[in-house]
Amino acid sequence: MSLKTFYRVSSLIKHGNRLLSGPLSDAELVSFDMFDTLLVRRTHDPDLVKVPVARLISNLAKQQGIDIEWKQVQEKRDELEQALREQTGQTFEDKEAHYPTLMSQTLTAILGEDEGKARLQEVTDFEMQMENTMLVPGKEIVEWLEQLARRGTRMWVISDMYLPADHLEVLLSHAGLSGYFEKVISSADSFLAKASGKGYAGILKDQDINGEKWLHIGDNPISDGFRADEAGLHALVLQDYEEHRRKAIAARYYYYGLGRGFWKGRAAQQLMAPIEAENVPRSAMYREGYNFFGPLLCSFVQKVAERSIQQGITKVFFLSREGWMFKQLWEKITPVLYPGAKLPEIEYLYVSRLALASATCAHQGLTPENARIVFLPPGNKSFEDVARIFGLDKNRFESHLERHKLTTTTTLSPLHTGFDPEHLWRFREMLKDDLFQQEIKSQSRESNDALQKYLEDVGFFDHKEVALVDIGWLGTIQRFFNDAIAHRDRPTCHGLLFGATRGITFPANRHSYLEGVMYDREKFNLASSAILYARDLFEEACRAPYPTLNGYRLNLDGSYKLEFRQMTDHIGKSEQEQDRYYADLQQGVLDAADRFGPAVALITNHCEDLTPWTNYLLMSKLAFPKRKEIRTIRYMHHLDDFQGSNTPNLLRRPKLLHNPWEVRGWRFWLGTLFAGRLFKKHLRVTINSWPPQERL
Amino acid sequence: MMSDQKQPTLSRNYEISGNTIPRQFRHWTRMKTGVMGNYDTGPGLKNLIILWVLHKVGKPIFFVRTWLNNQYELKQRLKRVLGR
Repeated sequence: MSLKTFYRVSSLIKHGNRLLSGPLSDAELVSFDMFDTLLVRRTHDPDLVKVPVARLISNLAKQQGIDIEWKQVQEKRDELEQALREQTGQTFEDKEAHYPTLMSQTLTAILGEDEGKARLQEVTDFEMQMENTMLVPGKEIVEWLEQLARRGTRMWVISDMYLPADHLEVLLSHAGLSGYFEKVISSADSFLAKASGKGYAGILKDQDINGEKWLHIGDNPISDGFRADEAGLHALVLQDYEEHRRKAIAARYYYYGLGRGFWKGRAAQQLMAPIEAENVPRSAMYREGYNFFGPLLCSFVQKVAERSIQQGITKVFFLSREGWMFKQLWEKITPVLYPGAKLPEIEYLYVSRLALASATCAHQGLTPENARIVFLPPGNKSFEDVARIFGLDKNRFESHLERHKLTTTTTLSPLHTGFDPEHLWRFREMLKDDLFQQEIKSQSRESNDALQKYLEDVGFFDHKEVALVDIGWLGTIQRFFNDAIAHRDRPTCHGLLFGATRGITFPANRHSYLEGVMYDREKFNLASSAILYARDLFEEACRAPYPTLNGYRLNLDGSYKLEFRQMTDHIGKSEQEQDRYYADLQQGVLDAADRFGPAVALITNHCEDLTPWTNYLLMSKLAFPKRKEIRTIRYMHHLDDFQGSNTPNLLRRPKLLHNPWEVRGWRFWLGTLFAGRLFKKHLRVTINSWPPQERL
Repeated sequence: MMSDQKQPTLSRNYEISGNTIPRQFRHWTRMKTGVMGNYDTGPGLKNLIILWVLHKVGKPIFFVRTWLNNQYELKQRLKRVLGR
């Protein structure tokens, strides 16, 4: 009847409205093609969605003891689809396939008849979930649908697709479009497709519709254009050049990633980027969360999941407070990245260095190593700080200190005025004193008993292999944790940190070890060492918006309770202000995680494939940042519960160039202006400190 | 703190905000002139140039390309003229 091609959605809608209010004002039906018209795809290639499905089937087969790789599953599926299309072609003009038949045959061929039937729904649901994540309703088209629906226009969806109509309805429903359409027709049900024109003829015959009063809109010049025109319909073809461009860019990233590993991560970011109505203006904090922290933190959680599967870890404990973010990311990305795989249980564990420090001395007393840790932060000076950190009553130690010619205020740190090596020697002698150690143990007992009860409550001791996942950096929490439970049968603890700076040597043994997943000082990786520029930034980005744990206490009835820090003082209020400031960034990270899993699942199944890109992200954003980026995302207040209130007497040479993440004013400007000079210094320090040596 | 001007996460040129091709190009020059760590093979100059063109000036290119792809009669006529 008539055929017109449009290169922009807006011009198509304008013409469509002109037709519907003029020559087609008595239109009986307006039909839409579904894919690339109503719903746009994030990917350039719709077949990419089949990759994670093949991985799921491969994992299900492995559970049955059938060793088949996902590529073999994909080949089998393609082979069966081809055979099915050939079979249909013998009876019908269109060589169409029917998804439930195809998937049923694929699963039967791989898993056997009984298991294949049992798993059909699970696999179908997963494929629908993957399709849903990769399809986005076109913004302008949805607005037009809304207008047409208000006018009472009768609307259908007609698609040439191997998914039957009820499956398409699921996709439309997820996109929020099902309410607009009276009917959904798929070529998979009738094997009459638009491509041959039989689909239109069949509808005209069965549904008693006048073709002259039927407007069809689609993206395929043949199926939705010529064939509709031949059948006597009014056809509008959408060839949106901007959409072609977006997909061409995504395709470039994808294919570059196949040849150069660097682009794999960038391709994933292109696929996970918000499009159409999702891409609303957001604050700079949100954008940094979505585009920088999101991919990095998700990549870390993916690596933790992969290590957990490889090492037979049965439970992963995410340590507070950064674990709050990691646990949410795990819940979002692992079901998509590891479909059908046996993943460990997860639990959020309330810990803090202060809470564990007071529990750690109950059985072994205060060890010289743990006492030395107190004096790592420059703000700690004397036994008062030791007592504060290990939760001890300093007044009950006066006699012990007196016996060793010390007081609670004697300077024990070489960074402070009044330090005498003799004092440190006397302090170390006191650590060998049984009476002193008995007092320490008696004061720590309650906290340790409460910790044991808490760990029993969360099922910590019910496992043989557990992971303790935390942000970093020295591994103090893992060290204290191991010390606190060293007296009893315990699982092997895999300490997995975002970054391990290892200022002190971790006492690794068969029960416990420590590994930095994104950065580890023991594994030379120059690019990821950029984390050292702004460590606290990652803590702030992941931190749960509630107070830190102060300690474990026993109730009168013998049960335990978790005691949190009061937020009423100046530091507490600063932290609350900080939480509000980072809320947008954290939302960006969580939103990114929703799309990270599906995007990465389409590109790769090896977490290490994203490492070159995450290395680039770290280096370009932290070592060579823009001024406005630093001003946006750096923290205002950072609570370090270990740090004391004393001011160290540091006799350092004044520096001209400072790390711009840590300073303000003119120093900040100089730091950003000479980022290259600062990087050379970072390079020198990183290389010279290799291999790492024990500092204590 | 910078002024919190709201912008889309994906720019109109389909670049992810805060990580544009020019920024990657600058980093590529640093990779080529100094020690920067492990980036596998790196981005490659040719790829960076092609991507920059697609992102920056891809709009008119794709308009012409899409328009030409849909000029079936013109294509047929050209084929006849070229004898193919």
